[in-house]
Amino acid sequence: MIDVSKLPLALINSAASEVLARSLRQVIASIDDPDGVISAFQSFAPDA
Amino acid sequence: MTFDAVRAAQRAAAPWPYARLDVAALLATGWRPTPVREVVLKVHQRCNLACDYCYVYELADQSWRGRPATMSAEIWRLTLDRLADHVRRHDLRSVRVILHGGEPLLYGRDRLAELADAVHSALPTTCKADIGMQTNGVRLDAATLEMLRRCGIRVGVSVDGVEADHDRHRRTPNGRGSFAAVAEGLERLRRPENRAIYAGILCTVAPGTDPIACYEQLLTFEPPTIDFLLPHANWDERPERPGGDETAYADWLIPVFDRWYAAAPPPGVRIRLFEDIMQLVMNGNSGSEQVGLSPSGVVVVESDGAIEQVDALKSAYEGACATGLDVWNDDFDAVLTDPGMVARQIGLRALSQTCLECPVHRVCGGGHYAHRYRRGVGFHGPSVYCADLKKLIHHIHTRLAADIRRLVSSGAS
Repeated sequence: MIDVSKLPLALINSAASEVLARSLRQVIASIDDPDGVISAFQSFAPDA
Repeated sequence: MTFDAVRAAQRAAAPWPYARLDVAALLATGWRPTPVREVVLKVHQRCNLACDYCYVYELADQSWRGRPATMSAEIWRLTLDRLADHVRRHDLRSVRVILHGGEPLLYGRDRLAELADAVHSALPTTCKADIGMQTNGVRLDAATLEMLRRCGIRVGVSVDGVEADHDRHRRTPNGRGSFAAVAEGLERLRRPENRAIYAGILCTVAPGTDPIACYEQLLTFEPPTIDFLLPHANWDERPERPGGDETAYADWLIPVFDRWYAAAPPPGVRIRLFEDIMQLVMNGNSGSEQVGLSPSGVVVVESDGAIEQVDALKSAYEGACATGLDVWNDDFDAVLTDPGMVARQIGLRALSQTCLECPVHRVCGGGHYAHRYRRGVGFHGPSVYCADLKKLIHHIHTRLAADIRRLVSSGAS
């Protein structure tokens, strides 16, 4: 596992890969919402 | 089949969880089920395509043959009443209703619109209701899209890459390919006026095909989201592995990941499987069935009113989805103590010792529950795609770790 919980937001937004930046933002957001629930609707993705 | 007969059949076919998971003991430890957050309505049991890998028609479970072709309004009204009760009891702030089949658009525009309106009026105003539909895309004509837009129904479409690859599997009953019709539908769906209801594309991985050609084909449809689905298989019905390649699925997915990660084209198409793995590698959550340990809050209501588990389980054995419950007699709380449902809500406790000893188990989560099935054992063991998942996760982890190290050192300097 890679611990990203202490990365500053400004640094996250400066990631060269937009895919990585978005994923980091999602992880940081999920720290406040740990109760993710599975969806079977494969075409759905939660908001970035 | 009676409730007791369903449980007996489940115990015989899948000793784990049905004979070995002690739900009462779990409840005694203080564990509580996650409420239902998503209801899949099987509004139409038939399909206008005859895809050769379809878990509804082509694999182990053939229960569709004994069910009504369409869901009556009485059944979906009862279902929405059950859902509204459940929302109130658990004070849920959001739920999702997925229109599914067969092919849900065969249900007809008027009936779908009536159902969608009823979803919103049935639920308490404190609860947000999203409505989605998974369709083969063949009938996405202008009038249908107008109805879907008006009702706020978000649409996911199944496409398997370039025309030749798509048409090899996704054919009409008389053997003709469906790609041209689907492409026409997607051409309409991606127009600006329909953008808000365009959920994304679902693509089944087919090793032996060109992954980059597939990815680039999907990008031409400008989907907001793509999900790549491993074909439903298990230890008794194993996946195709051309040339005996033990990691054929990872070897197909990795080049797509690299292309997407390096340069996701604007406005940034999302690939759910990859995003889920990335987030899990970084200690986040997954929201999909394919990886991770998040609880499943999904139930299916069949066209006869039966309350069932997710229908990907139909790939395992006849009756694998059955709970013995139905919307006439049972509320959604009743299904939450079904051992099959419980098994998908207890995270690490559902994993085998083999999985728990593997360093990637918190990321793969044992893989898709349906892919763990082995006759005589049940759903307690590694996924039949274990080697693929391990290789794909290792690749993504390595790539992320390097980039995050670079990011941190750039911040330090």
